[in-house]
Amino acid sequence: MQNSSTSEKPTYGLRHALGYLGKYPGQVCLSLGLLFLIIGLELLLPKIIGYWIDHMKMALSKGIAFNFLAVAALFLSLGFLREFLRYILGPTRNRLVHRSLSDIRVDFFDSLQRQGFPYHGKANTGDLISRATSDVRKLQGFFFACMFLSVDIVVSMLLTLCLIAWIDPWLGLLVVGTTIPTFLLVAWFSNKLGPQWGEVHRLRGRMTSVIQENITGVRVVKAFAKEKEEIGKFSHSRDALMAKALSAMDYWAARVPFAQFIYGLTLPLALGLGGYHVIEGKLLVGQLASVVFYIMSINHRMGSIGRFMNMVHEASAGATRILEVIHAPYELPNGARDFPPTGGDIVFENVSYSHTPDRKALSDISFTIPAGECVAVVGSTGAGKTTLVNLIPRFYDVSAGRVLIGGTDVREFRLQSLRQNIGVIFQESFLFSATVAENLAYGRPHATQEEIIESARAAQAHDFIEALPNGYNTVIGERGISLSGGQKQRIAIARAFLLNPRILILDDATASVDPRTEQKIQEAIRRLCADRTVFIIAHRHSTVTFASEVIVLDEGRLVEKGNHQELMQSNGFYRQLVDSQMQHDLISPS
Amino acid sequence: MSFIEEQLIEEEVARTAIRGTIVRRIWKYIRPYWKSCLITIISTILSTLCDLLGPKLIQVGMDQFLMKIGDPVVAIRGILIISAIYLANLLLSWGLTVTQIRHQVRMGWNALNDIQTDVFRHIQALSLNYFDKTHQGRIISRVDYDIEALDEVIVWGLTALLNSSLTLIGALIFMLRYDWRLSLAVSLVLPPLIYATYLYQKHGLEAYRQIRLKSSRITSVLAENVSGISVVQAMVREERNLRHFSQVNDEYAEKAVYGATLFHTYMPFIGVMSAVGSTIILSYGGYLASRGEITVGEIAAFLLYLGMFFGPIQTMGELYNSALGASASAERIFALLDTLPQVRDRKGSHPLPLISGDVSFEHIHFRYDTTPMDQWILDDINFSAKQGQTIALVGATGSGKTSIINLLTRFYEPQEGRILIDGHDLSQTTLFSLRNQIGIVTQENFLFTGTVLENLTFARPSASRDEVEASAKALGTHEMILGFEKGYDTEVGERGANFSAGQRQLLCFTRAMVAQPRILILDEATSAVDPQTEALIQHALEVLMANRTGFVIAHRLSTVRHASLIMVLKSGKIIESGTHAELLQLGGEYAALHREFTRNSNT
Repeated sequence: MQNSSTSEKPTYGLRHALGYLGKYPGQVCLSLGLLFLIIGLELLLPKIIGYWIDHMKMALSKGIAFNFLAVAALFLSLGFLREFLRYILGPTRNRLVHRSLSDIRVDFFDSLQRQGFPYHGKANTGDLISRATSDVRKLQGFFFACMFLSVDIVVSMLLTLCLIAWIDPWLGLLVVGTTIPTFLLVAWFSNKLGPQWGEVHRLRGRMTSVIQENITGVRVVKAFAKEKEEIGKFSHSRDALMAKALSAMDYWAARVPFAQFIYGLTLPLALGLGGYHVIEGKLLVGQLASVVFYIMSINHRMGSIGRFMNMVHEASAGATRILEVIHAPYELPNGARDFPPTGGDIVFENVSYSHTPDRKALSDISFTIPAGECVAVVGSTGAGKTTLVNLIPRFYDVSAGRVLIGGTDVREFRLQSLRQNIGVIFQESFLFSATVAENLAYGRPHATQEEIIESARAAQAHDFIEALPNGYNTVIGERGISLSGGQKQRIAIARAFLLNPRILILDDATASVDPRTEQKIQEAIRRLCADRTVFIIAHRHSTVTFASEVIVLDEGRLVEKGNHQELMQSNGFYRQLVDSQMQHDLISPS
Repeated sequence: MSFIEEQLIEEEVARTAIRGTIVRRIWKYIRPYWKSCLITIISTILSTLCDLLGPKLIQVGMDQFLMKIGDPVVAIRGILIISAIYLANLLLSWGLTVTQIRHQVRMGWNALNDIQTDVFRHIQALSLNYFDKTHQGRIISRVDYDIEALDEVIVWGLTALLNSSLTLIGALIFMLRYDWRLSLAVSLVLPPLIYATYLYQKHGLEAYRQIRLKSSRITSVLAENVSGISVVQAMVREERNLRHFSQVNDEYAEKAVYGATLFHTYMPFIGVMSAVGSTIILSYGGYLASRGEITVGEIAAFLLYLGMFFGPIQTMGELYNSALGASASAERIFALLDTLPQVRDRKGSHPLPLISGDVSFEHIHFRYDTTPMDQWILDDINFSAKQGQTIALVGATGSGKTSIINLLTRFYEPQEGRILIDGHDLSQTTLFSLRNQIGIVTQENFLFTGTVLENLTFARPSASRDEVEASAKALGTHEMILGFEKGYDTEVGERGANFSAGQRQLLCFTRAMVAQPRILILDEATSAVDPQTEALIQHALEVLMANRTGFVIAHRLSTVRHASLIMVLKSGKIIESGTHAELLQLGGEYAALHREFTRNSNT
């Protein structure tokens, strides 16, 4: 993922992720403040019950007057106050966390959009998406855990211990004596269990992919009559999951309830020891009751320690994966000059480019294309055709040499200005799931309806668009109807038309289209070529014929240049290429 | 966001009343594990009783030995005995909990395993018409999400329900035995608690739905931007898209905060009810205690039992919700299990012997489930192909080429007419024996994860490595495979993503070659490759087609010109048939198509 040119690779962790919360100091303070207040109130309530019991006992045995209603009223109002604070805290801290996560996602998105083609060429879409979704979700858990759960656990447990010790040091010692081993056991078990659940998760993923693959490939399975084998494959992965899940669950059952049991010992032991102190007269029975209530309130926090450990563990890997993307260095420094409104000649000066250090994709290429010409780039697969044209809009930057437009190095232009003036039609016509009109206006969102229709007409797309259920407002893509390869290509061409760029780059795909559609596409391309500089990567040589200039590449080198007739006559590499294509693609001319 | 994803989210939040038939059908799956089920129930009941005993012990200890000033030696002995009983109770409860978890998991997971296996098995049996009508995402979610939804209820729901209801009832009984008036007064908190839980579950579900929809929207916007990054950058849309993404994020955050607000209104409400309950005990209980009608230890026990109200009510609220969800899942699962495969082996059908490959279609009429009743997709198709011939099907999209193939492989069955192979009526033979002898290469070029070798032997797992290599050599793909990173042992990524379209196609050819089918079908198999690969494919095709009956569908007329018989289809009818030369001579549809094709490829 990282740019390989940077030698030392900075590591990002949870500390950096917490920085996102730090952007909202007011809300962080408010949330923590509320949390402390709530903990304080919670610790007061058992005290009140203890006070009530002691005074009630004295009232019963010694007849000392006791206004138990006043104590009950105090209890009720403190209880209400605590819940009111919780009611405020919940949404406050949720807003804080979601705002921070939103910031993280937006930064992530921003960083991805700025990364150049070399980055995206290496990156895997599924992986990036899982970073932005499941890893961010893990961070969400972590933010809650770190900001609130950890504070809640640590602060309230420490305060409770202090309070118990203050009431009766021996009882305090007892609680410390059971809490620490429980704490350590839970931490240890969750450390051991983590990888086991991870393995269960991995096996579940494997089973899911068996299911998915089976259903996506249903035609192949049926065609080869492999249903039995598929059931076997499924059962195999299911059994593996089952066995692992059961063993993990048995591991859990043999240990975690044991840790809870250890902590559970606190209560009977406190009852015995505390009771002894009460009988000896060192402790009031109400104080013992408060201790019992304190012990119970720690109990449910013990359960969340394991959860907390898991969250932190998961989140730290997730944070690294997210921040790695956010902080990935940008590869394209921006220039300052605006693109000349009239365009200009395109000059390649001793241009070389390599994707990997050991192999050059292009070496030492020089040529000049006067403004307004139509150039075809030909060569076999892997000759470097796409790489060559990608250097013009700076999808890649040259490794050596220069690419000039109107005498200016492309790297000196503002990236935005440069790309706005270059239209690109990629080999794969990527359309967005939106209406046809929105797709056409993708590069010029403010285009009028007339302009959109005009460009569709020019691209031979108007007729089929009109025939769609809602015409130009038909939603296409995943959410709507799917278009054929030829239709998609024509929409991509129309999209570029609407841009009316000074320079156009067209990677002519050999989509599987029937002859009639192919003819329409050819016609669209022909129109696109009028009055602008055009580079066409031609896969079918019929496209070449309307180019005024042909550039022939072989293994990253420029081997021939000239027009179709000249090159055919010179009997060189171009001639060979055309002939080999003729052999199996064409039927003898009639 | 993709439409199907939205629908899946809707399915996820769907709730259905629990019907008796559903429960009975689920019970059928649990019954084989009734022993585990019984142990789970017994241990759950006992461990719940152990938990209920705690406050009672504290009360007895307080009242008997701590409140009265009697003989300290007796009191100390008494309190130590109470602690010891409490300890024993704890030990018992621990053992019961472990037993309960081990058995409930075994019962639930085994039953679910059986359900899931049945579903998967049934999907294998279903015919393609089901897959045409049902989106893949949905079918996957039957085996995947719906089972998970049942998991929650079958594995954890039973014990949670038992534990919660017993705790609630038990706590009430213990309270009633102490004092019925105070019990009644404390019970006042129950109705608002139950109503609040109901409201929270109802609105919470809707909030959850909204959150899921918004979060899947974030994913789809991001996914689209990443896959279309080249277009985004080429068209300089970065700023606009960033604004849009940020807006989608804000919408999500808004819904998430709303969901949190609901939760953080419900939880404090429970807290308020708990405070109210405690206050009732401290005030009314105080009044009763001051009159000597209730002991202080009993007050403490009341406070502890009150604490046992809240957990079970929350749990039962959640459980109620997930039970309705699981019931909806179960309905969908059983609906799938009840779907009969359209094409299946008939009673008395016999396996097809080793065939030589004569195929004939007799008066075939065919339409899909989705075709209007007054139309035929194939309208009176008649032809016969002799062993070893290559039949080419030509025609515009929708003319019925693929449908002929679909009938030949018996993916579908014709409404009228019959298909004979070597004189055997297909409808009287077994599916396995037919498909086992047919090889098909489609445009999809679907590969499975696994090694190249595993993919090549997919159809015939018994094929040895030598056989595979011999097939590859005959096809001319051996060199290409050796060129892969680890040759035949190269891992195929998901759906073969690490290979080019042409390589995938050649691998599919090799897979078909290894299968040694008697009849071979190529459906638009040659497209979208560079000239070099295409030459290789052409050669492979000739090798593949030799000595076996072949059916070819191709747009590129160059691939069909050597066929023994070319059939031109139009609107479900064969309008022309003959050899390349004959059809050119005829000067009809084929000749016209051919003229267009030549003009395009030759300038």
